[in-house]
Amino acid sequence: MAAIAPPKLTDAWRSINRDILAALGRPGPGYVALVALVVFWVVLGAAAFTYQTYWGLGVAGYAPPVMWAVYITNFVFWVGIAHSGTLISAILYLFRAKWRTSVNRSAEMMTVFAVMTAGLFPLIHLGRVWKFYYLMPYYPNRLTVWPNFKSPLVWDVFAVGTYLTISATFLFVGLIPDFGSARDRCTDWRKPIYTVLSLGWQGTSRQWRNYNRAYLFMAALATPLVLSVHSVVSWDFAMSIVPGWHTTIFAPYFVAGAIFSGLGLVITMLVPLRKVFKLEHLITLDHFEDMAKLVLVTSTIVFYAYLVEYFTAWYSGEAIERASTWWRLFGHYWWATWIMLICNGIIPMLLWFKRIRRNITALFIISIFVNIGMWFERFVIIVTSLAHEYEPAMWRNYSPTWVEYLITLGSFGWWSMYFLLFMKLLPVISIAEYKELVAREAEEAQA
Amino acid sequence: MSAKRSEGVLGIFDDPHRSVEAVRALKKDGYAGQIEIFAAVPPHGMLEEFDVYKSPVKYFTLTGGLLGCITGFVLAIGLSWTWNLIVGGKSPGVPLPYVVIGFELTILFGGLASLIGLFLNARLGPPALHPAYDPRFSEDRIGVFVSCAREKMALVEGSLRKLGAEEVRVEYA
Repeated sequence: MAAIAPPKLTDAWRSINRDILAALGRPGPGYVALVALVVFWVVLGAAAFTYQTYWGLGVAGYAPPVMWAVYITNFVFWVGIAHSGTLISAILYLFRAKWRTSVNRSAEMMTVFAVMTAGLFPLIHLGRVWKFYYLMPYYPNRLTVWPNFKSPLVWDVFAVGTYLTISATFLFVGLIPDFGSARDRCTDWRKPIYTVLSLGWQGTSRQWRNYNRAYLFMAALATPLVLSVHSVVSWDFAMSIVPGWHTTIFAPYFVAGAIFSGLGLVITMLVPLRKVFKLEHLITLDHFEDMAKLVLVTSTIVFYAYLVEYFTAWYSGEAIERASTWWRLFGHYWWATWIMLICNGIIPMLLWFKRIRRNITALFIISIFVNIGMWFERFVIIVTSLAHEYEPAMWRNYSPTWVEYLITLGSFGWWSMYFLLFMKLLPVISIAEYKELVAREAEEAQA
Repeated sequence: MSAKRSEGVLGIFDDPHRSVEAVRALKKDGYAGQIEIFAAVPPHGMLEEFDVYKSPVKYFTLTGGLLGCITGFVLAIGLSWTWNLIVGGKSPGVPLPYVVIGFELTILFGGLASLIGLFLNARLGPPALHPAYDPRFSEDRIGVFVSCAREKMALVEGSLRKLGAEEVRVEYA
């Protein structure tokens, strides 16, 4: 019997190239309908925002003492969502985790669009959005406004601005070789765009050597950035003296929560994506299982942080802190707190079972619970703490208005719209990195 | 690449290992410094054959990072001194709260400087491609191009064929 020759590496490369670029083909009616739906959400959100801009912030449900509410919830939620992309791209790259190759591009795209979405909310929350440039201090100080660099809100501007710039740069650099591949295969109106964006990429030794170094340094810079950005966001709360906010655990708790929520959305997004674009052989069950393990790890950290918060409130003997925590669990917003606890702490525990980790439907459902739970975590932290501060005379409950609901819906539409559009313009899996992975595995198999 | 460097012989390989062997052999034959590759992924061991060239991107990253750090502190402390207000009992010049600004700008400037370093050193920007470039190089083939004088082309062509190139092309400027 004749021996079967192993498949040639270059055949595998060709197949990777064609399969990934095939996803950039003509969109089907389902895709067009989905884009239309999310654009409709954006239109609804934009209409509500226009209404709010015209009439002022009074149309939102804000009432003292709850002057940070759904908009800031959305801001923190979307910044958190943005964390998985750079975690997968930068940290897992430095750790040489092979499974990241299938998911890093879509996670990076998700990151950039999530930061863009998050960035809208401080502006929406401003009310007088046309004064947005006051957020950015510059020298000499011509705005005659005192820039308080000791305030975490100013730190936030720098942290989120840096995160958006570096995430977008990281995504773009990773795309350069793939733009070269798309340029060489594409024959329609997109060819000139890919030609310009590929910047003359030819895969020469000089280009690869500099590219590898630049990518490595960017990963090394982005790694502490991931940890710093959500720490800074957490200090928006922790640096104040509001009960429920003023705690040293906030930075690691927020970072773990951010990675947890981001991974949740990566799974939610990749399950339909691999099916629609027929990428099941490139984004495999093993990749989902690895992501599920990370979700499990971060879920346990987040749940531990919840328990530590409750423990410190009790153990501190601080009456206001205890009252605030008790009210969170059993007061007016008990339902939001329990949604948070169940979705983030209990349901993900199912991922201890291998059968669940390898069941795509189960993973998809769990990831949706994670998304819901993490949105409610932000809501619980922000709203319940403000609604129940020190002065009983100032305790007041808050309810969002239709304007806030529509703007929130619009933000999901905004993020989804960019993601769907760019899925048809950018390769959703890194072609060059996948080929490199296949080559490395072939080397290892031969050794 | 200059017009002179675009004249030479191109070997197209369908086996990454053979392409690396070919580069090694051509270097031994005295063509080091005249060889260029085109590859969707650099085959294992290929970049080591070009070790004369070390990427200077690290200097860009370092310079950008240091510049960002200094800018962050100067911006924060400078503006705070302009508004000489004591907050929380602390002097406007106290450095600790400005570490965040310094850190963020270190990362921002370092990242952007790395990008500039990549563009300049990898000579990215103009979309024009080398005349010998073939679209298959971004898919499944590896190109090994040897720039040489016309009188040596036949010799290089023979070498490339012997070294396993599935296709050999002569490029004139």
